[in-house]
Amino acid sequence: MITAENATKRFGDITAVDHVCAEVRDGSVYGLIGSNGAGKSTFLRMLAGILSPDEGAVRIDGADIFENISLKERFFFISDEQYFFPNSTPAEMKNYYKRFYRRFDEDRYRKLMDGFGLDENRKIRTFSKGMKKQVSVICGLCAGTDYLFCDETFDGLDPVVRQTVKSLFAEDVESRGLTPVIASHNLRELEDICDHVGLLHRGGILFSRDLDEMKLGMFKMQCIFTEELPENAWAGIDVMRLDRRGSLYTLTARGSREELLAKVNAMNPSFCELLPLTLEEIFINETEVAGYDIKKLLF
Amino acid sequence: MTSKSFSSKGLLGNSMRRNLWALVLSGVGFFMALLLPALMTMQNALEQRALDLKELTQAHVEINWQGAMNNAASMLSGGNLFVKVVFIVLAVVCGVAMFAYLHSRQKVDFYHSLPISRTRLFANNFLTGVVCTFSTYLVMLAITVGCAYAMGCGEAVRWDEIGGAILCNLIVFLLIYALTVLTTIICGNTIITLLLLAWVFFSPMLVRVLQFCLFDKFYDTFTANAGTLEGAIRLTPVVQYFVLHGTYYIGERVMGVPQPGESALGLLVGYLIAAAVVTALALFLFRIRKSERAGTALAFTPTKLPIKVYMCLTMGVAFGWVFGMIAGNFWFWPGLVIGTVLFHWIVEIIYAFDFRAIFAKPLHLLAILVVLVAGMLAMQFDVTGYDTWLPNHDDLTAVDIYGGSGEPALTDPSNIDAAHRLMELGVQAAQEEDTDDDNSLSYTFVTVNCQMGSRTAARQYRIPETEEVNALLDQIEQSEEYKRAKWPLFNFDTASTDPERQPMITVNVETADGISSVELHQPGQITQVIETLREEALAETQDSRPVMGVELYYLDSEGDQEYRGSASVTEANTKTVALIEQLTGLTPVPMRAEDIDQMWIEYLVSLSSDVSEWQTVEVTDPADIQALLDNAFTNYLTGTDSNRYANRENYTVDICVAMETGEQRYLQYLQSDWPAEIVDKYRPDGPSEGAPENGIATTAEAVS
Repeated sequence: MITAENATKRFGDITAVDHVCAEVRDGSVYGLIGSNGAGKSTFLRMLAGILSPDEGAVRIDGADIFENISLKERFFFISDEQYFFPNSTPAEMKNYYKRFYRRFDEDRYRKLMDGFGLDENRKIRTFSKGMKKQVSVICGLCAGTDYLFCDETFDGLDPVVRQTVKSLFAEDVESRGLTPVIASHNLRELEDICDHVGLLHRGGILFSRDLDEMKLGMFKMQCIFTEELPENAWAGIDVMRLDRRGSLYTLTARGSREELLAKVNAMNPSFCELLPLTLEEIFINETEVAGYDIKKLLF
Repeated sequence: MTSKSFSSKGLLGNSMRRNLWALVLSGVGFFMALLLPALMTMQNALEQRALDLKELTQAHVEINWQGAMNNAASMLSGGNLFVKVVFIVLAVVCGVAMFAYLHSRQKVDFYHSLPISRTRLFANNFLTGVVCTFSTYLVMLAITVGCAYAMGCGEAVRWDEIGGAILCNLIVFLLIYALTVLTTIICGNTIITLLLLAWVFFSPMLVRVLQFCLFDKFYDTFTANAGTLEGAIRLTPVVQYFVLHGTYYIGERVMGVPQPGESALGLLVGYLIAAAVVTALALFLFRIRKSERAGTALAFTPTKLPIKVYMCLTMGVAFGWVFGMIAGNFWFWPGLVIGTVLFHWIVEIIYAFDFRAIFAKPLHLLAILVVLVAGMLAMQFDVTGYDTWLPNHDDLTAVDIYGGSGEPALTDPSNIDAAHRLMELGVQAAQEEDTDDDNSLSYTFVTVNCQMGSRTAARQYRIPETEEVNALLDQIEQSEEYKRAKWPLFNFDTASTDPERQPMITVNVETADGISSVELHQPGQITQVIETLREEALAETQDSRPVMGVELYYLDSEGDQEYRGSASVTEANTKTVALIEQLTGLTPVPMRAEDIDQMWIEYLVSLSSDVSEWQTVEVTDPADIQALLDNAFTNYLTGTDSNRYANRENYTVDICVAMETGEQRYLQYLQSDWPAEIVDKYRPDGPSEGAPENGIATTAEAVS
């Protein structure tokens, strides 16, 4: 398990990461979201052992990560600006990584290279930005590490490849308990893969929650009422957001599924259904409750 | 748990494959610097030999062949300057390239996230540069040696010299490489690295030269001697490298080819230790270097201030010195301030990568200026007592007078006593100098080198010429120890069997027909003359006038002369005079008035505190001419072995004659024979008065 305890990183006068506390459980998919400059990359670089925290600690299974070689063998870092040796090919990069990651799965590497339609003997400098990302992701997945740290990895990937990569992540989480930690400024990229999300803002973590936990007591409902509702019609329900378009009411409310359905049905709607909440909606609601405007934080 | 698949060897091989450019660069470099010049030299030697065989005798062919092989051997070993240039270039290029990844965030993220310790990463990168450079050098050397044997030039392959060259090249390369790596690690930007590297390599010499200049400017007793810059050059391996010939310093040149001289093993061991220390420091800094410093000017914030202070102080003094040189002493001070301020601005702009930082840290600038000006004032007012310093008599282990290179050679207690007393008089004179308002005293300049255990020091004094001073100088100069140590006569090898160092002497004698010279080539005659002269010179306890001059030479196989100094044969050396007369048939005859066409005296006359001019006064009175000739001897007869001649009133007077033959000579006198009265008689009253009362015309030439 990865733990950050008051992890702080300063660059001169700038505090990039400010007393961040977080836990990443093994086998989960941790999404780290935040606007540009929120400190996501810095936090991830601390997790990858590149930066040493100025204060606090970043640990894996209780051991500090910085300059810990045995821990570093357990994760692979995909930077937002990946580096490849000049004039190198994917095969050469694979061979280099093989020296450091003893569980590197070469068969899978070949399979994935074929699957993504990448030529392992072509010079990487001739690849597009997305193709380079694919090479990094393939090497990262095949390294056979316990953790995979991805910094804006989905940026630049086309939708099909993005979905494929997410599937691969999910597959590895399922099959061998991989723990991806994915930093992104785009909520929509993370919503269908993460099960735990941390929101960073100005170097500090606003909150860190399980998505299931967040979704558990929160529902989105769409109802149609043919008759005009009295002003206090929603008084018995913990409504977090309410929109009305003619007779169509869309609300986000807290409570159990059964309790909410029972209360709304008691109001005789002509139509009522429960809708899945998007990650964005969850965040909008959570951050508003916390006193922040998510649109100002992320968009 | 560490990776079993990881191996340093495999990683090094991979690293070398990725840095193939370094192998290619060093391959091309050593091909151009080693193989090609050696092949050219050997081919040229073979062609020359074929020509020589048709035109010259066998003996000359062998001599030429030996010279050509010496040249080729030099190319293969420590005499090849091209190889040294390539090693320096590769040390800098590889040192920067192997660690330049530290200047890029992208690369730092890549390398520092890998499961490899910083120590191993350092070792791998460090060794890659060394192996790429040195393996190529050794391969190219092996090919060159193979070519030498194949071409029939095996004589050029001298394994001891080649081994020495390999050792020297390896050690100097390692030191320069380690310094480059250290600088690259300290910096966060490659251009700054190169700038700082130039500073690291050359600033020790610059600082030493500036110290030299400041001491010369502010201290009256400061003296320059050949050893002053040696320490600074040692601290500048890129310069020192070029005076090394394998494990030796470059010695004399034989047929244009530098030969090994004094052993440089001590220096090389020192360099090796320095390389190890610098490498260890580089490793330490590499391990603690923060990854986020990529892209900044300096990776270690605490180094910023010391580097800035060092640069500002040095460049402030340099600017002050240059300004003073160009525009006079006053401008030293504005130059000091301008240089300091300018470099403070430059350094702050570089540190911030922002031109707007030009006025940053004004308090630092102020503090540096205060320290610098205070330091200069301290020197000007001799706060440290440099000019009044006297060594503790008991600490003196050796002394020397009149400077010269090397360690002081006089260890005899009486010489040490005399030298110490001269220093006391010198210090006393320095303190009382201002009392000589009417310039009535005659001064002598005495340089004393002292050795106190392993420490040496030197001072030059301007001492009033008193009987005590002259007696002390005589005591030292007439001592056997001094003569043996300082006179070229006693260091001339008359028994040399080296064909490139055959002794030869030229005897100059004043005869009725002018100066006559005779060369003696026969070793027996030379030995006889030199031995006799040595014996008499050692027995001589008082100055006496030279009547003959002996010039000492070594001849090489081509007849080229190497001057080794000269010795005078005095009136007191009767046996030597008789021997030379017997061997050469030359008899010394004093100069006669009737042989002289013209005689004049040149005076250096002060016009102002900064400007003097030479004024010439012709001597026409026959009685004066005869009086001036009575105890005179010409400069042809004086030796380089003595300082006992009159210093011509602090070198402000020259007495000259033009012979009937048209030949011009300067007249010299013993200290006791200086014709002060006649010189005073003809001394011009002042620069504006064209002639003295005797009606003799004067001419003038300004000297500033």
